[in-house]
Amino acid sequence: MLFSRANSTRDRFQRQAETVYPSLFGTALRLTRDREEAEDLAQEAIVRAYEAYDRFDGENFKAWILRILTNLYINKYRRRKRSGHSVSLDDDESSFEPVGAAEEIPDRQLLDEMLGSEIEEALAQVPEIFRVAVLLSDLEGMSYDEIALATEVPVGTVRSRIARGRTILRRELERYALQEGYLKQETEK
Amino acid sequence: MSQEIELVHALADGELDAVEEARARQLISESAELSAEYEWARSIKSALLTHCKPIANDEAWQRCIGRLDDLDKVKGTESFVGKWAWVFCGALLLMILAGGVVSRTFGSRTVSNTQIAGLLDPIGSGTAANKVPNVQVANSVDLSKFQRTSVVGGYLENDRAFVKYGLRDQVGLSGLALAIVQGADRIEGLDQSTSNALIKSGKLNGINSVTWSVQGNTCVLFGERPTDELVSLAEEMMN
Repeated sequence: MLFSRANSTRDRFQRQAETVYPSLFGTALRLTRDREEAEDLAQEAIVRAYEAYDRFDGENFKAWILRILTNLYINKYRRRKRSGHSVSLDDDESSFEPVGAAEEIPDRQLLDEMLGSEIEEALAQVPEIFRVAVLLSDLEGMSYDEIALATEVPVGTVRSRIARGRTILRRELERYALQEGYLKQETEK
Repeated sequence: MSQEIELVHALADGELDAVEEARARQLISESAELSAEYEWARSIKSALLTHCKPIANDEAWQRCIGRLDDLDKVKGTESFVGKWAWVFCGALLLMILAGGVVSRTFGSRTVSNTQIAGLLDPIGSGTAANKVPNVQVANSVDLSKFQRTSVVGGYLENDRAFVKYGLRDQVGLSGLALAIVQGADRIEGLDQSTSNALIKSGKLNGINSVTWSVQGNTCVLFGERPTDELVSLAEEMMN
């Protein structure tokens, strides 16, 4: 009886975890930018989630396990990051630079023409505290409240980080588009 | 300006309440820059979703399953031990108690010095019984060189039969006694080696005593004599 209940819990957890694992690993890889570290991070998140599975409220497994992964990353992995990839919390509070003119912003067609690897590369250049917020919001579809819970910051900070993260990402994409000729081609059209 | 930009991005994320949403939409309608920012936010959300897919990694997933298996094994063991720990402890305690009782009652061939205390008066009658029990080994001890002054017998606390002879040596000195305890091979407190490897010595209630085994029974010779002399006398009895 005891063992059958334990097996049932394991089966249920494994089914849910297997479904979300690609998202989990993808997020880990985009956070760490290192395949081995990402595998370790995702595995650690799976193990922690399994150990705490009896405390899962049963509502949104993906958001719950991503929260565990994000917490792990923030607490453990971020310390090991190279200093060049980190930003201080002061940067988070700095004001935005003026937005460029509408015609300078790459449009949807331009983004469609860019390759996934190019967008991934631009995303990787976004400082991590902003990148975490953008990833959780835009890729994983988490709400601001869920992101605030995962990253242990107020919702207002999440809102600020997402906006700022996207602004930085836009700048990176613009630079990349100019460098690779996408923007020139677009202008010539 | 930054607050307006944040508002516009939150609108693109559908994270505003009705009042904030109305304000954000008004800002967008009034500002080309904010309108462009809003379009950009929606575009990048769409582009990220299109281009940045979840990444399958079967090998890593299999390693995760391996870790979960390991966890289950540990949990299973801990659970089993935790659940039955009180049974194991109880059984062990019972075994120790039962072993002690059996050893004390049936198995022990050691006679405690408290049991034999009543025999220590070399000339007294000790715990004499009306009828001297039949201690066969008494015939295996050579007392021909001694004069028997008394003989008493009885049973120790654990129903072990004994017989005790009051003795006088060849010189005529009394104050010696030999007790033979049936079914014992050791007297507690008499463990010191002597010049004869078969004979052990010690003191019982301050009285010099020596002991040796004969056919699975124990002889105890005691009296107000030096240990060496008692050993010599014992050797005479053993011949």
